[in-house]
Amino acid sequence: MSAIISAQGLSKSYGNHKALSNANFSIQPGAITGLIGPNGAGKTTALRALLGLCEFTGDLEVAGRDPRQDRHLLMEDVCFIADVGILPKWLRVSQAIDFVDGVHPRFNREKAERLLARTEIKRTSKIKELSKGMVTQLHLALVMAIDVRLLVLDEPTLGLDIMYRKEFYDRLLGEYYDAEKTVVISTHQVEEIENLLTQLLFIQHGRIILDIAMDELPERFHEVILSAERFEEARYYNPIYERDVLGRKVFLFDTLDAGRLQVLGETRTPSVSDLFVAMMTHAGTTGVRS
Amino acid sequence: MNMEFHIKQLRTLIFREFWEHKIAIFWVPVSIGILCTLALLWGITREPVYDAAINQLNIMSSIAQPEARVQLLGIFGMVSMLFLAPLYLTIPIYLLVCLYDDRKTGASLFWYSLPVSNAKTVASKLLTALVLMPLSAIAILLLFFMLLLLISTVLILSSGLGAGLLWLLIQSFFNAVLLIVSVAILTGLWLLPFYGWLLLVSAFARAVPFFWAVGVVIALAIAERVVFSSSYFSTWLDSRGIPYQNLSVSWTELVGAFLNYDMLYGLVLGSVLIVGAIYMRRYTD
Repeated sequence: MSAIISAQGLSKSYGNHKALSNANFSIQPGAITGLIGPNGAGKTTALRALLGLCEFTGDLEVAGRDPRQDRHLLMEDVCFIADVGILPKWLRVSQAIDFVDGVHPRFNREKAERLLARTEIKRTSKIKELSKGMVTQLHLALVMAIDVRLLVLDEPTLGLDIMYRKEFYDRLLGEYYDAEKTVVISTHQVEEIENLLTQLLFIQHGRIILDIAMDELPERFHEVILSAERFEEARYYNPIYERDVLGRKVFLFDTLDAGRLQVLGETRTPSVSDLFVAMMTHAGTTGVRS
Repeated sequence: MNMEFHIKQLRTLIFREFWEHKIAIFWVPVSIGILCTLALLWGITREPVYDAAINQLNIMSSIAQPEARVQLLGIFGMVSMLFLAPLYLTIPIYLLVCLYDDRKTGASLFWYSLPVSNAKTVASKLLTALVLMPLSAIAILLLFFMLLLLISTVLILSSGLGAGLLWLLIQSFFNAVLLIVSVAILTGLWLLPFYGWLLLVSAFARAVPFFWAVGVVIALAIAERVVFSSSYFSTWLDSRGIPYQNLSVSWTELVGAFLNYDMLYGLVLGSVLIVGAIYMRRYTD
């Protein structure tokens, strides 16, 4: 199957600041990909490039098109939710439905109505009268009613309370996602989405520093908890990161040869958030496979 | 994609303009209509105004028909100015902010995330300025004309002036409405270079579009004077103002004022600027 997104040498500068620096990655149809990085790492720029919202250099193909050309045709196959509150404030809920119905050929009005019926949102309300959580519910209902191949979410739950955040991802997975669809989520709150992802892209200083399928993670990354007398022994195996846990240390290794580590003790697969912290602190010092 | 879908998209986009700019498109003419209605009802119940109206009707029924028709058209024309003149304030403001707001308010990513081409978006804004805004003002004007006709009919019949004047009044009314609609549409086309320029500024200005719109024009005029010691540009600007001050025009005047090479050049220049606006809208950075 050919990739739904493929980027080669993707670069973008704002003045002297390199928002994206020769980023390479590809995303297969059906993937749920997390684009994860600290604030200012280039996540939003990368997503804007995917959507044809900014100029860039390099090769980029999204759903078989160059986003720089015919952006409006690309948008028939791609949906987009940026951080909350991008719906126009003066718009009424009923008008929002009418509008998307009127301009999007793949919008299913009944589905949107059905999704909205489960919320407290009134049709006559203006967007500015809704809470942040409700605006996101509305936007999600509109987007989930559109049958597209690729859904791009940029920090979709930023500023929402925990109830709405959970509901957001539950709905997304329960009612939207299927094997035909691809989802790209950018966030810096890794723990929130790590259980849904099938692919990880870590981004730092505009570079992709890790591109890995979730099911390859256990083969490549391992961590071991050791007490003080064995620290030096562990360091012999070049951990990429160590952190303190109640007087002991957790050592994190990037190696395909887990057998070597057996002498240290029981290994386990690190969580995505631990791996994230490790990679972000480590990547500055060593070259990373991409 | 088929024609039907394109039309549906464009119609939806124009609806969107109506929702967003309801005050300029709808409430401004409605307010004028309400004010005019109140003024008319207040006036006609006052003796001096009533007497003056009867007097005017008497004069018109005594003079020759063509002259009376010119007078009646003049009255309709004057009243229509009250409704149409504000358009040439609201339309430029609308054009200047429409694309700018799409980019600069928090909603830009919403508008840009839908499968609508830049050309169609700009077309919807242009059609709003050229058609929707004038038609909305004219629709409210027509309601006011109805009231005016009703009151005139009552006055004519009650003062025994005869059916001849009434017939003339109704003829003039239809004539005036056709003229007003034509003038409104032709004026929009005549002003197309300005409309195109405002759309272009709206599409590219990163801040304060008003200063861009006015500043560049003034700078060009000054630059021409300084560099070439000539003033073709400002003379040309003057010549492109609203081409008549009085709506009591006849069809021959109308053709003379609008259907000429100046109109054609303006349409070409306007179209170039509009294409520029479509191209500039690509960039949201």
